[in-house]
Amino acid sequence: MTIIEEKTLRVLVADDDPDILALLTMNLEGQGYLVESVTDGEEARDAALRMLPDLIVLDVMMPKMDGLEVLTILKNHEATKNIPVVMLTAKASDTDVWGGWQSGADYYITKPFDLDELLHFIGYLRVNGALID
Amino acid sequence: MDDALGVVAQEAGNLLCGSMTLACAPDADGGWRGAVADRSGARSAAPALVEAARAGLAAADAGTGPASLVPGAEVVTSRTDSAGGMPCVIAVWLEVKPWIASLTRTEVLDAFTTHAAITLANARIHEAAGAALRHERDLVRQKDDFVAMVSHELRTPLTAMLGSVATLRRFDDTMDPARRVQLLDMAARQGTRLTALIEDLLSVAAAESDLEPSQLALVDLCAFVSELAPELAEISGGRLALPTAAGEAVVRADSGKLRQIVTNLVDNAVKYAPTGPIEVVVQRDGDRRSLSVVDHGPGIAEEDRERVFDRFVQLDQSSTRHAGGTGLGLYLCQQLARLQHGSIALSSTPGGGSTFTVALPCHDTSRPKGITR
Repeated sequence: MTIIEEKTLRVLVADDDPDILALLTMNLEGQGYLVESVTDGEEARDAALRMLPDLIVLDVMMPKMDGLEVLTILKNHEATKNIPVVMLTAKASDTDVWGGWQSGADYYITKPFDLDELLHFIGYLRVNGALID
Repeated sequence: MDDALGVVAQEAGNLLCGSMTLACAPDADGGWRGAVADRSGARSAAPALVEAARAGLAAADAGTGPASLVPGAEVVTSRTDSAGGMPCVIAVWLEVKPWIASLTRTEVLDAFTTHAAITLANARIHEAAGAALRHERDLVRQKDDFVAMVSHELRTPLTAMLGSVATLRRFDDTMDPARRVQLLDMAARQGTRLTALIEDLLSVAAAESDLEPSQLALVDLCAFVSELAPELAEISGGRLALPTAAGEAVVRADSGKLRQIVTNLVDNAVKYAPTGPIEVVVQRDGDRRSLSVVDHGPGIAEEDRERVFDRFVQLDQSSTRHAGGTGLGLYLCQQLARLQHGSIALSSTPGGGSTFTVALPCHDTSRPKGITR
């Protein structure tokens, strides 16, 4: 995998399950990314607006504000609308996945997800310049 | 059915050239409704008018008076339960005071009323079918919601378990030992959580379909609690307190299901009330016999008291997730109690602990009188 930029990628991860959050953080840091983690939707929105990360990994079912609502807010906000968002969900019905794609997520993964799939997709985003500075 | 009544009233009025017509009939709950029709259309009848019609019909049935008790109406006919029809009363106020025999008009209206009775009966069946269909749709939607929730609840620990193993593989030798221990613990813990969830889900499914029919027998609650005490003491980590009950308390119950309920309630008390004794109390209150699990924890707020019995509701998300709570315990207890013709009630004050009381049908050995509720 060719690294195009030198800059370290900053990733915001949001999931209300502390174990899943820890796993995501561990693996993303293992790839050399800088990770900030939050546990609910409101924190996710605030952190995204504050830090303007290069990538957001967002769980759909979270307390206070669910992932889809956060996604809609960020995609409609000038400062954050171009930040790629990967949605994670445990709901697997077709209507939910379709709803996720419709809402503007750049990628949609159902749990239990394949860590390799997630990391490869992030790598793909970098190589293809989708992760801008 | 209001529409049907309106149409009946209008048609009867047209038939007899009435200035005003009243049509009344009972609805599915037995309460009488009526419609009034005149030249300006049909509308709901005033309750007083409907009541007069109903009373008139009752009087005629009982033979205590004429059916024509609707004030001022020249022609009144009524039906009690006719073949295919339902009770109804039709009263017509005439524009032109009759100088021809009103008997003819009554006969005409009589024939009309027979058909009206059938029309109204059909309208009521139609209404009931609509309500049943809406109910079915609600149930289907609830089931879909439940399936979605179950899917989420099962996939979450599975994700953490598989993710932990995948991470261990990825990092392999490069992972530091402390982290390796953390991940192995995580996998084990999530596996246990998943097991508990699957067991609870199966228990709930079995209870809901009544797969294990209740073996109801006479159970002496005091003896039952004593036998269960060692297991409860272990669950509660030594915090169990058993106040002595006054007298005997015999109920009809399924001891296996009752055991599940009590152990579940004590387990909950341990999770939500970190300190203080957990009491299991047998109570007699007149005819009622019950068993209560009392804790001295933070208690449950009023707005949550109904919710706690719902599926997948956990009041303290963070700590119980780690303690392995599934959110199904209280719902399961409620189902198990229901299967024994009993019930569970909660009383609690914030700061003052909670008491879950299981009430079961009593069988008083001195005066056997069957199952009482």
